[in-house]
Formats: sequence, C-alpha cells, structure tokens
Amino acid sequence: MARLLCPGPEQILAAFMEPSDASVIAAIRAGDSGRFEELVCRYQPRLFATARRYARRQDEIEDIVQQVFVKVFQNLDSWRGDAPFEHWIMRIAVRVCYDALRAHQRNREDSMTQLSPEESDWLEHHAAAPEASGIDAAAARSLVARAFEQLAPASRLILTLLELEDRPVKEIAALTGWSVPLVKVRAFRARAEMRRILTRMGVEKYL
Amino acid sequence: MKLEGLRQKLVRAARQQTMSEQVPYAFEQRILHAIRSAPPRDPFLAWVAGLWRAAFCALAIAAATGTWHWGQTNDSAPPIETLVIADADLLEVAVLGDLPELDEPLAEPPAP
Repeated sequence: MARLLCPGPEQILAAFMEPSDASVIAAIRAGDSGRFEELVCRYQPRLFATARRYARRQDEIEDIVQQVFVKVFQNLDSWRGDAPFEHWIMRIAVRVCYDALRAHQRNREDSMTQLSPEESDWLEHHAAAPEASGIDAAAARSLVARAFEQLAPASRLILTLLELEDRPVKEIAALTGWSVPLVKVRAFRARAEMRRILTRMGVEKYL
Repeated sequence: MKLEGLRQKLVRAARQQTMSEQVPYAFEQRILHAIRSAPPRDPFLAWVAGLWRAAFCALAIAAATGTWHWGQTNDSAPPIETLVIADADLLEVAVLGDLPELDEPLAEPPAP
C-alpha cells in the first residue's frame, strides 16, 4: 500500500511555516530524537526516487532508504551547516547506493538473456530510421535497465548520475567524493563498458 | 560509432522516465523503530578502519621509495615517472577501497 503525495493548499501553507532543517537538527542534537520524524517525512520521497534508480526489488529499495536514514541519524553531529542539509543527505544516499550495488554485484549471477520481442522491435525500428525518436520508449528503458544490471558498480553509478540524472561533473564529484578527473575517467570507461555489454546482448546485428 | 549512437538514443529514452516518489505506508515509523533499536556507533571500529587505510597508504609509499632507491643503484630499473604513476594508482585503490579496473588490451602493432 502506498501513499500518494499530493500537496493541498494547507500543506503548501504549512511548507512555508515549517521549521528549517537546521532548527530541527538542533532540537534532535539537544535530545529530542522524536523530531527526526520530520526530517524523514521531508526527505523520504526524494530518497525513494533515488534508491529506485539502483535497485529493483521493493525490499531492497526500502532497505537502502532505511540505511540512509540510520546513517544520517548516527552522523548528525558531523553536519556543520555550511552546506545545505539536502546536499549532505544526498551524499550519504549516493554512498549507500554505491555500497548496495557493490554488495549486489558479489551475489549477482550472470544473467545475460535474449532480447525480448519488444526490444527487438525497437532495435529494428532504430535500424530502419536511426535519427527518428523511438516508438516504444518502454522497450528502450527495459534494454537500458538490463544493460545497467551488467555494469560494474562504479560504472553504473557514474552513468546514472551523469546520463540519466543529467548532473554536472562537479556535482558528481561532490556527491561521490571522487576527484573531477576520476569522474571523467570513470565515465569514459563506463560508456565503453556499456557498449561492450550491448554488443554481448546482440544489438550489433541491428546496426 | 553506430553503436555509440544507439547507446545515446537508449539513454535518452531512459532519461525520460521519472522515478516514482511513492513512499510505503508508515515508513517513517519503521525508520524511527530502526533508529531506536540500532546499536550505538563504536568509535573504535571507525578508528580501526582508518588505520587499515593508512597502513595501505604507508605500504604504497614504502614500495615507491624502495623501488626508487633500488632504481638509483640499478640502471635497468624503470624510469621514476612510471613508478610514481603506478603508485598513484595503488594509492587511489587504497583510499577509495575499490578494486582496480582492467584497461582494454592494447592493439598489436602492425607487422613490418
């Protein structure tokens, strides 16, 4: 059962009147740990959207979000307030997602399956008109999702941030803790890795 | 080149998809319960993890200086630039805690 977040006028008004992150954190530091719920309610939709990029199963997604909030709570004293709390929590989220990808890779079985009929249709359409936009975007997304499953964790992280979320390199460097040149090198390698995976999946015969 | 065009087209299609922000019912209660039942962080463990990383860095530096010293007394040793770059890679691995990635194999030079 899921809750749809659709803010009404009262909620919009409340958003202007709600206490800032800094004041809530100050209260939690002072011992009122129950107020952490406010931070959870504020950031959980965004964290769920982020976690869904890296995991498919609902229980995995929930575990990632829970782990992020537990880490946030445990490290709350290290937030100094010189950067927005949102940036700080997103850095932790990216780190937890990366760790989850690495753990998932260790348990992963190599599952290189055949192209589905929809994916084959999409590729045939691409072969007929490479410049035209795709007819069935769902088939393309499924193909990308399966290719991403085969990527190394660092490659998947970098392509998700850079190409799916369209974030600038500097921001990715801040989120991951990697240097800007390292982000660029890893992006270059990740693109090459994805091309190799697509070749293994048999897309080359449609080119 | 065609493959890269296809890859970019696929990624463009995937970028159109916005991830759902739906939250399971009463998820915040689960988080609060997890926080209350989580054991307190042991600062000793963080200290040990830091020491391990420092140990790897120290090993890399010792290997670099040892090899450089050996190179000073041996003409057949590789040039210092090669050693420094190799050790920078080792340091990156030690600091990031990541496995090294294999580069693509170099193409064979054409036969004369």
